[in-house]
Amino acid sequence: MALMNHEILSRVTKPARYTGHEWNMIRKPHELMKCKLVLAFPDVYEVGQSNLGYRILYHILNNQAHTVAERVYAPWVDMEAELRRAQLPLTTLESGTPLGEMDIVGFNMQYEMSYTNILNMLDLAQIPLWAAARGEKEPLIIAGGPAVYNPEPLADFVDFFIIGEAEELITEVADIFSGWKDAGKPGGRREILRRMAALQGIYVPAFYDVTYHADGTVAAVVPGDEACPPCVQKRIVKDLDKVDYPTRPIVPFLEIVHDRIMLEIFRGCTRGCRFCQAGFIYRPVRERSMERLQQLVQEMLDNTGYHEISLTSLSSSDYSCLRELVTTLNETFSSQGVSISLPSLRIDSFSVKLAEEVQKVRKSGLTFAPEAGTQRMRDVINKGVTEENLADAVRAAFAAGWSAVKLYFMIGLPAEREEDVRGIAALAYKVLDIYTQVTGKRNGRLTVSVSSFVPKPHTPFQWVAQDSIKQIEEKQQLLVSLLRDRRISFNWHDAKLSYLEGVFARGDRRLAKVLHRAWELGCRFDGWSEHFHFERWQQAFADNGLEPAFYTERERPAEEVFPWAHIGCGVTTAYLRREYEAALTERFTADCRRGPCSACGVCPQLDAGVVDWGRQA
Amino acid sequence: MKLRIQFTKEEPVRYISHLDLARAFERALRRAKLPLALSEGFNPHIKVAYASALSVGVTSSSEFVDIELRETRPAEMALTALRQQLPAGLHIVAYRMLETNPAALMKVVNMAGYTLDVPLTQPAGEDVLRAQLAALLRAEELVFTRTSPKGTRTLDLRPFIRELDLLEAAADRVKLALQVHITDKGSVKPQEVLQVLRAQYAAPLREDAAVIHRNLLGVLRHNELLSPLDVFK
Ligand code: SF4
Repeated sequence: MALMNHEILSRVTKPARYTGHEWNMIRKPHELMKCKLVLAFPDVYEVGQSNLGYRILYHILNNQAHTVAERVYAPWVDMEAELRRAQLPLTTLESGTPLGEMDIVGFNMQYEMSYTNILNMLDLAQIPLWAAARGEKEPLIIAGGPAVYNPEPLADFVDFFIIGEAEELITEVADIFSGWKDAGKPGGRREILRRMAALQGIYVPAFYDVTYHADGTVAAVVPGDEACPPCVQKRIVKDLDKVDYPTRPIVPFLEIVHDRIMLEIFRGCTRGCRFCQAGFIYRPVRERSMERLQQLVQEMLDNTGYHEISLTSLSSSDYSCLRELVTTLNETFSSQGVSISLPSLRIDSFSVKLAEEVQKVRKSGLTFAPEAGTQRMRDVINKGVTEENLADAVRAAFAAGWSAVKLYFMIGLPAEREEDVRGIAALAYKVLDIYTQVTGKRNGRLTVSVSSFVPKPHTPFQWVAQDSIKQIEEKQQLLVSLLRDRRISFNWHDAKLSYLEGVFARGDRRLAKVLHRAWELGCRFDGWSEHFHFERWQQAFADNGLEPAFYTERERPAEEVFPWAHIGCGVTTAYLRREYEAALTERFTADCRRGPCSACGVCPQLDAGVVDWGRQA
Repeated sequence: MKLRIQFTKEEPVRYISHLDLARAFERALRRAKLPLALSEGFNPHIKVAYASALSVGVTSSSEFVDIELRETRPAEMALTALRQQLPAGLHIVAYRMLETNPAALMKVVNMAGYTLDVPLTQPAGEDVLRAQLAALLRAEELVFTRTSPKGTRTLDLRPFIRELDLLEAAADRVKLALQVHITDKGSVKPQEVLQVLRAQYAAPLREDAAVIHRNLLGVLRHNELLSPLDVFK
């Protein structure tokens, strides 16, 4: 290793973020590769290395004979300063190759407030930021991930987007790229983009023209190239048992956020909480089979040396054979000192029983998400949980020996009244009372975590006005005054950050200039409070003559064309509108997982179906 | 049964911390499917003990660890399995199988040796450097203020320094050999010795850019230097 690097690495915090060589890291000889791809994650190593999607793609791409995938994460600010001072380009972890020398650089759009990191990483890689400024020598810049369902704020920076699940699509992308490169890159960049655009799930923003009304709303988004569909529908994997799963995930040296085996038990969730974007964009529900899961666990334990397995999904309690799965895994592996964790548990005593079974030590506490403080509000958001459900669940938890419970809520929900905010505090005290009833003690500990609702595209609330910063801060202050109790620790999110998240969640292409300006002004790692500078963002908006309130505080009329109108997640707008109306009249919509279809449109549009072993039985 | 292993920490893992290394070792042991002894209790952990923590950025050719197994295994077989599972840069160089319960590595290891390859801020003659080293060694006391997250502490480093030699001097860098005592009152880090040399003896060293390697962890008994692998004889 060059001496320069040793000096740099000796100065920065956590140098192991930048040196790779972890167990199961894959190195392939570049001279034998046709497609050299980078999986770039716009956050630090510990966050990015925890991402399941990237673990899957790393595995699938490197299993291809002529494709190599390497990783890069956002360098922390100290490392950025070192790279800039030494004028060194950003390189991949596996081979130390500058990103600019690879064929395709893919970014994960995990979160709107990491967009400045994408720009910063491109700049550190010495690659032109604007797609239009990149020439034949530069890599293709692509992006995917949950925020891709409104890709427009990044449309001018990215060559193409991957909409939906990439397991199958990404190898098609690599093949088409390899074929084009083998043939001597006929037609240049434009031609490869045309070929990509023909794949279902690929969106090439340069091929779509956006026109605006005088008031700034979108008039139309039209494909300007015949290779492009008017609406790009997401890709999904119909049978999860049939796709490759990363049974040899990288085992990091550093302790990462999810430092354990992540076993995805199913994808999708159709409980239909109206605020939750994941509940719409990942439809339909598709379970992996018990047999497949058991086999995966054994392989992953053998290949990693981890001794903790997390059964992940959007709502683990909903897996049809969960009890059986947990019991079998416990029987098979607990003698090897292996433990199981169950994130995202439902609020009921069944879930508490399960948690009891897997969590022998009660120290880590239990988390429940009632989401709203009153029944009326929970009806609006379609959270099918009653106060009684919560009472039963916490009673069971306290009886089983837990003394610490964490409750998740949101404020700023549509049609919210002051009594709904007060309801959060009332519920918190009720939980503490139950603790005292059950244990006879007054030493219960409760964490109340309150985030601010951000309306997201492709949800029934995509039309609603988001609360202003002032409104949110008033609600937070109200809760601060109501939750003054030494047994309660109350935390909440920065209202300004949620506000900006809201701007980019429902933003249009014109925001590219704002993003670029904010980055020029030094914005990066916006999601890290110590690096979030709201005034720089305000200046970036002012410099471009745009008003953030236009994107957030405006109730959109039913007929408005959204900036993401040409991106489809399979759920129809008509369904979302019906759900919005149901919200305003506080009507419940049942889960289609084991009940009747509520006609959201996903299954017919994507020629797919629900896979749930409880349903077929 | 216990295995006492001598291993290296080389370039690929230079920048991992002691905690990272311990985790990597534990995972390798689990992958190797050795019958690891576990502690009692709700949260059982494996019984593994190291001789001495190595700082981030420092390589070594001489680290030691004791691993307790709950069943006896042919040592060579266990070692072969483990070797296949160690990440690049962690390499087993020697081992002993211990039937009896030996004193903990932490208790017996009482000295360490390092080579330090240090860039110079300005050229310095070999004679000048030698004189600076000699002056440091002649000192009765080396007062040093150590800052840690817990606060600052002033201590005398001199008792911990056993030997300090100049191995090579070039125009822009110098290579030193250092031996230190590890006592129940603590020890001294190579970086700290360099810091003292620069700050108190005017040696033009850039200790922040030093390339440091540990080449020795040993047991000094009645002026005889033993390997931790041989202390039972
Ligand atoms: S189409 Fe019907 S069954 Fe399929 S996800 Fe939508 S509501 Fe459920």
